[in-house]
Amino acid sequence: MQPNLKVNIGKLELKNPVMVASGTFGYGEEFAELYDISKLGAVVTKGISLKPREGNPMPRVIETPSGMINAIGLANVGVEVFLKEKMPFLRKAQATVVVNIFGESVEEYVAVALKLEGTTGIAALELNISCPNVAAGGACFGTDPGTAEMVTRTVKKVTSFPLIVKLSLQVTNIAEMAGAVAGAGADAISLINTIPAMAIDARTRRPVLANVTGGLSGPAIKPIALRMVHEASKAVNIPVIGVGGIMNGTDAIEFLLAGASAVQVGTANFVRPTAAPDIISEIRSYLLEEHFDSVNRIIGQLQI
Amino acid sequence: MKETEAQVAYKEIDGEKYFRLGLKTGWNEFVAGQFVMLEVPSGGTLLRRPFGIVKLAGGVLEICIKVVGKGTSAISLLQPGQTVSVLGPLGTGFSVQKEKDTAVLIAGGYGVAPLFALAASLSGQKKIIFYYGAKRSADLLYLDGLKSLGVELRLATEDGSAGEKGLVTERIEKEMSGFEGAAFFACGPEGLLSAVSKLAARDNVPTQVSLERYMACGIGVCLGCVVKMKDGSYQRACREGPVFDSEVVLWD
Ligand SMILES: Cc1cc2nc3c(=O)[nH]c(=O)nc-3n(C[C@H](O)[C@H](O)[C@H](O)COP(=O)(O)OP(=O)(O)OC[C@H]3O[C@@H](n4cnc5c(N)ncnc54)[C@H](O)[C@@H]3O)c2cc1C
Ligand SMILES: Cc1cc2nc3c(=O)[nH]c(=O)nc-3n(C[C@H](O)[C@H](O)[C@H](O)COP(=O)(O)O)c2cc1C
Ligand code: FES
Repeated sequence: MQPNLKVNIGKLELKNPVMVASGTFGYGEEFAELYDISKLGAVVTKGISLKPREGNPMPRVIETPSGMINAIGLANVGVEVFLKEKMPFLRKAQATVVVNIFGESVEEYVAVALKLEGTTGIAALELNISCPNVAAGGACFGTDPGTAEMVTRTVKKVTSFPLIVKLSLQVTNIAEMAGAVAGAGADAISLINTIPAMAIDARTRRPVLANVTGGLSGPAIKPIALRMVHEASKAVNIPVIGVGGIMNGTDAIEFLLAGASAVQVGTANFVRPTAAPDIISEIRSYLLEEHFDSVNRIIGQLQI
Repeated sequence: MKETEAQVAYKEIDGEKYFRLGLKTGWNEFVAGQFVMLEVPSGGTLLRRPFGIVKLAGGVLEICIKVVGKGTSAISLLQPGQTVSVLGPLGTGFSVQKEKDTAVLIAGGYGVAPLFALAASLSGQKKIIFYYGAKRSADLLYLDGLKSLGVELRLATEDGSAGEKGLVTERIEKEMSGFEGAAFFACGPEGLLSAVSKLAARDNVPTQVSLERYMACGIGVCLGCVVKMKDGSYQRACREGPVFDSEVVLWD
């Protein structure tokens, strides 16, 4: 018998636990040339803001040992163009769509959420709180539990979609942060986002990226992400979505064991464009080999 | 766009730094100027590496690689019979206007790759003048192939070991007259491309350039490879490019 791959993220049921991470899949069009994107647990879109953003100057990316650093600068088409030009394609492709949103103020988060309200084909929102809060002098929304709680509570009030809050890594206590957003009404949390990092060119004596710093992703961050997912899932009762350096089925299983109800595949999409569908089959094979009839049987089943 | 596990059909070393790889992709179509993202064999690097398509014959794709770092070194160890994943053809290639009867192709270094493909596709239809510059004669690749395509070769090397001594753009500047009915197509280091586009703008010669950017995904999803346009917008080198009209690009 084929094992059951369905998982629940709050009231949202996913076909399987494999989502693709924001910023590594565009709005789905390119990957749809390679495979049927409706087979994915969900497609998380590139982060959407109220107005279009051009992003940072070049260079924006650099490979580092077992990873890469990006400073794209949250470039995106803006919510209006997203609704008019990107959503119809995702609907037609029958993808399960999670719209990742961000803002530079609480008002902007609310405005984006309101514009998305009532749109058919959206399964959930994911709140990226790893971005600077202009009103607070550019401090990240996600570094202070009080601010994170406030953004979550405010957006939750105006949206009818399930709300996933994507946590920033720049916190002293991940359990406290997870607890704060869960208390504010988040339906799930996802972690981790990229880790602040930099690369220097010794010959030119300059930073490699025009933005000086960027976010580290890929296999290099997996052990950190696993630890964070493990701690966060012990701290809260809402589902946790594991992200960070997942390259294959075994990596995904490790996150599920650590307590994640689903995973997101990011940088791996660049390395092997079929990484996400491959991971779905690899999870299925693992369950068959280990005689589990459902993926839910391994979630949080880490033996300590 | 396809992802294909391709067997290495052949590997030919060309000088100290260059080698050509033939890959059995089974593909049958591409536009000159398009490229592939090649998986780097294990132990090399995480991300794929971009290379221009030189030719595609009988399903065998040829690329020409200069060894410059970790990824290209690891790829250079591939042996015939081994397999490697190839993603492509990617990007927007050259588009050729019918009304121009002369095509002036301008290559620097491994920029010859997409221009060889372009010369092959135009051969017999247009007069092709092929400017080709490099540091020294050993770095000039595909000369026999270009000759057999019937192009008019105009070489320049910095050390004078082949063609004229100096930069290829200096040679073009000297010979600029008589390009009224021509269009330029250029690929090479950014300095060469920006010099070519200045000359072209001065004399109103329509020009397409193939730009190189560091690429993470190669398929348009990461937004890591963008090129700044004169209107202030950014376009993706891997999707809207790598070939752009030189007049819309913001040169610095
Ligand atoms: C569209 C496109 C087509 C290309 N076609 C060819 C081709 O036909 N033949 C060929 O030999 N090369 C080509 N390149 C360049 C080639 O992709 C790089 O040389 C290669 O990725 C370097 O990998 P590496 O791991 O060996 O170098 P790394 O170890 O990553 O870096 C070594 C050095 O090369 C520089 N470098 C790395 N990547 C790039 C890049 N994308 N552009 C410019 N400099 C870079 C680094 O800054 C560093 O100085 C092309 C690039 C693009 C974007
Ligand atoms: C190029 C790039 C762009 C990204 N853009 C976003 C974004 O817009 N919003 C967001 O919440 N996360 C963004 N991320 C973070 C990823 O969604 C993911 O959290 C992170 O890369 C870790 O996973 P990985 O190691 O599997 O890539 C981006 C990551 C990369 C590599
Ligand atoms: S390399 Fe990723 S968008 Fe061009």
